[in-house]
Amino acid sequence: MPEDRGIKEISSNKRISILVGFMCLFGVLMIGKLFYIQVFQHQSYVEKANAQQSRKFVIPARRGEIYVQDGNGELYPIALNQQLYLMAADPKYIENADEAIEKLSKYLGNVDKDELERKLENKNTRYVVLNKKITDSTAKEIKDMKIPGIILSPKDGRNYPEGELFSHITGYVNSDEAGQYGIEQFKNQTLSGTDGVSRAVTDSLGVPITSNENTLVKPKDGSTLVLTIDRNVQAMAASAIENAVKVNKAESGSVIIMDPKTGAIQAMANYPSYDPNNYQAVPSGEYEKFINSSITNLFEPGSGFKVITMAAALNEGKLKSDTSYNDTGEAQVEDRTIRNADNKKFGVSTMTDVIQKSLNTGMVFILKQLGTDPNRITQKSKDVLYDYINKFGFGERTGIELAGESKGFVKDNKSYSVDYANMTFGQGISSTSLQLVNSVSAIANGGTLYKPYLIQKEILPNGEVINNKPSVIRDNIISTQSAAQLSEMMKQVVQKGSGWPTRMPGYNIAGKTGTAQVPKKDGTGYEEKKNIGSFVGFAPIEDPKFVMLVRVDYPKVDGFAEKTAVPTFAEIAKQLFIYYQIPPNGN
Amino acid sequence: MERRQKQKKPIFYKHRPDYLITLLVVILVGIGLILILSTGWISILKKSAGASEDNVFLTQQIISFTLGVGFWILCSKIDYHRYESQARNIFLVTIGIMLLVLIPGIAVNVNGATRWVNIAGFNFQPVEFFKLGTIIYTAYWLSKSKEKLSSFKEGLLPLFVIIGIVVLLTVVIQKDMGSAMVMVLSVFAMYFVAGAGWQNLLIGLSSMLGGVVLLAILTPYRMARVLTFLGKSDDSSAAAYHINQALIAIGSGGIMGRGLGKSLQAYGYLPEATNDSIFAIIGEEAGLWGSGFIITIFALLFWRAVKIARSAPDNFGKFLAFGIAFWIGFQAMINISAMLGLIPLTGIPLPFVSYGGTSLVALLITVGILQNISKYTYKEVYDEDSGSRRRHGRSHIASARRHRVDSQAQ
Repeated sequence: MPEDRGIKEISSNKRISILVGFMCLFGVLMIGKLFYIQVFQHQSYVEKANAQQSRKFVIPARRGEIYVQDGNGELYPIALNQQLYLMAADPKYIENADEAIEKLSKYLGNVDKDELERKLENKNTRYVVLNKKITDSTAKEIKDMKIPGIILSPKDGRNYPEGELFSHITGYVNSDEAGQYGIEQFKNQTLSGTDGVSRAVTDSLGVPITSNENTLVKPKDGSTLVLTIDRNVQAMAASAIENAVKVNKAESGSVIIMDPKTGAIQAMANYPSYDPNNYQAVPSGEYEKFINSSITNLFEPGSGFKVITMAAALNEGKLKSDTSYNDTGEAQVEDRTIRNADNKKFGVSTMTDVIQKSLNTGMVFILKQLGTDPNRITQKSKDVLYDYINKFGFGERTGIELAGESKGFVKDNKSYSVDYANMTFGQGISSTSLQLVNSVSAIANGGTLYKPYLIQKEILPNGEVINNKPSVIRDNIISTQSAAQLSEMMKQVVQKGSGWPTRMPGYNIAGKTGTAQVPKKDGTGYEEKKNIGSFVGFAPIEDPKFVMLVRVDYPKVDGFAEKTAVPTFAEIAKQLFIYYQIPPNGN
Repeated sequence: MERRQKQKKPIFYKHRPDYLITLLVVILVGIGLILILSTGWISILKKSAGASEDNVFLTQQIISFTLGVGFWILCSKIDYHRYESQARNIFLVTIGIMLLVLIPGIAVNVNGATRWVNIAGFNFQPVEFFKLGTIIYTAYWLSKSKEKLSSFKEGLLPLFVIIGIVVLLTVVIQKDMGSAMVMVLSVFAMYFVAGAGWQNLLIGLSSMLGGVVLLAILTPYRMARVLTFLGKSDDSSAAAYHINQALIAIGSGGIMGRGLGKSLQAYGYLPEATNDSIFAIIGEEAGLWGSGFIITIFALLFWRAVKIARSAPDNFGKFLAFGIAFWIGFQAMINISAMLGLIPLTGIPLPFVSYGGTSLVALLITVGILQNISKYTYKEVYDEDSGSRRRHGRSHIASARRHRVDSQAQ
């Protein structure tokens, strides 16, 4: 065996060892990298993995419905859920755009057909929305036509069977499923419930895989709400106010009717209104149509507010209904002269006259009586009046279950005496219609300020019913005696004063007109030809069944509230006596 | 002492083959089968393959394994010296098989590359047999020309011819860069082990490097893979996506893994989940323990194969065993390293574990050949570090033990 061969053999094995050494080195590198990835970077890779493997699926909760009732307790839906479809086209698969448009023409609404045809012929766009509100039955018709490239995708829709009638109460639900305005917005959470979430691992195409890592949170459906609104009363109010606005060529108007013994709202109607089924149709310049003016818009209540000043004086025992003063037609406060409307003077007048004839000078007289010196306006006068204004709920939200309630503005007791003098007859103070009607409600029921409410009961998805009970904001604001005296004075408004159109044999109606001036927007005094006519009142006085405010904004006919708001009040009141079956007392 | 002197004359004795290799190979194939068996995710692959049976993958792999085991046993019985005389023919036959992809009727085109042939409904990948043919022929050439490797005509020229054939058939015709890389480097490693001169090695190495650079420049998708690896490519390329998904799979597995059959990356995120990327799935399902175990098994297998090469009784056996050892070890290494982001993606399967019938059958044949060589090995006797060369102390690994038992009995 040659020596040489042996050396070569050794040499080969040595070379094997060199290569094995390289491989080992690389092996160590591999193990090192493996360790680094699986131990040190594990968390970061788990996050990356979850980000791509895990997907969230939303299971929509069913939105609660809204009902009103009638006198017999029968329910009427005013907001329902509806299965709608969105119709879209994928131009790529549209074979004949012209033909497709022709076939679908009655489902397209008012569209420019030429432009649509151009859109559908552009094969690069893959999605053209044709109609967002296709109903179930229409969707079937469209499906049956089998037009290639037409897509119908289901979406939840909201249907308001009563159209405009309850629009300011319900509001609407926008395309993002969020309630806008009204109860839909205020009670959005209650109505919408909570969507369920299913978190599942999926394959790369997004199809869920069975895994014990998957989680499911079931959706919680929304509650159904039953309102205190009486459908028939609402219909009466809505038709009356629409008529009033049209007859008086007014800009707008509203009616609120509530139960003075509970604060339950029976009707709340504003005109003009809108159809919540088609809220998109409201042009962008007319968004104020969405606003519930009864709770959002502020106005200077004017003479209607005199009952609050009177309530304060009567309750403080400063005067009685037959207390009299001499009306010279003007009253001097600091450097200002306050006059009666139309500059009338009535000579010696009682407090009843002050309400009945709506005397501004009488209000200034009362303000003086509230203080420490009956001959002038003292700090005490302001303190007492301010206290009563607050007690009656002005300057604070009533808390009604509607979105967009304003709180109004009351000048505080550190203001000038002339401001307070003006406030006594409702100028320089702003309030919502609801605040005014609610404060008169406290007079009607003998001194209790209730929180106005709309929701009578909430029906949970499991069928459980939560009944809403009347809640008192403040009681004993004024004594029952004071309330009774004031009611009697307000009765005279109807019997002998500006409220005469409401006079109805057999019924004792209390009320107060107001023809409020409208402050200019720039704050320099009042608009010349604009006024807001209002009438707030309740009946029957002995056992009030309703308190109502009628308001007509900017009528273009001459005259005070007695020409505009009062007849409407009368018209509705007449119907209510029959509807509530209130028997005449024979007087 | 007497026995040793008696055994001084014979060059080799036949003895028991290396059964540890059997065990290691069975473990690897078993892991591959378990992965296919236990997966919930296989359904998605089934869908994409258009198969109706639930366990079509498993069935196919078991059939291939059974077939492969038959060849394995057969090859372990065939005296490997027979290949020495038939090396040229074997090489030519495998080249012929490789050329089958050029015949339109039977060639199967997948993703723009033709690497499969279909003969009478039987699908297979010629390159797997070509690898074996090339290694057998290289071992034959090296053992024949061992003394003249420094010359150009018998050293460098045949090397370039072999490598040229390999590159032509794999890269040019089949667009299979991964297989080419494994084969060229295996051939070159064998050339090195056989005792090539440093000068020739340098020439060979530099021309190979030049070739790789040229290929990378000429073919954009290879360039993309390299750029991805170097971090100079945007993440949107397919290669970047593949490596990223492999890393997410391995990384999210952590130490303990998600559990058998619970891979999520296999659901369409990680490309080639049962095939080239199977290591990443093991990392995800079995964690550091599982992936570490796989690497350990391959290291053991490599060690045993190298051991056979070192103690092979002749040069052909030595080079053949080493070629096989290097092929399997190197292929496993580049597959795993690509999954770990250590080297660019090449697209070759993990030996024994990846799903694929041809690869498995070819590899089991190879193991059979390796085990046959192991029957003739001598015990390692050269302890080079200590300097004591017990040149006459050679003995069979296994037969030594048997003899000892015999002598005790006597």
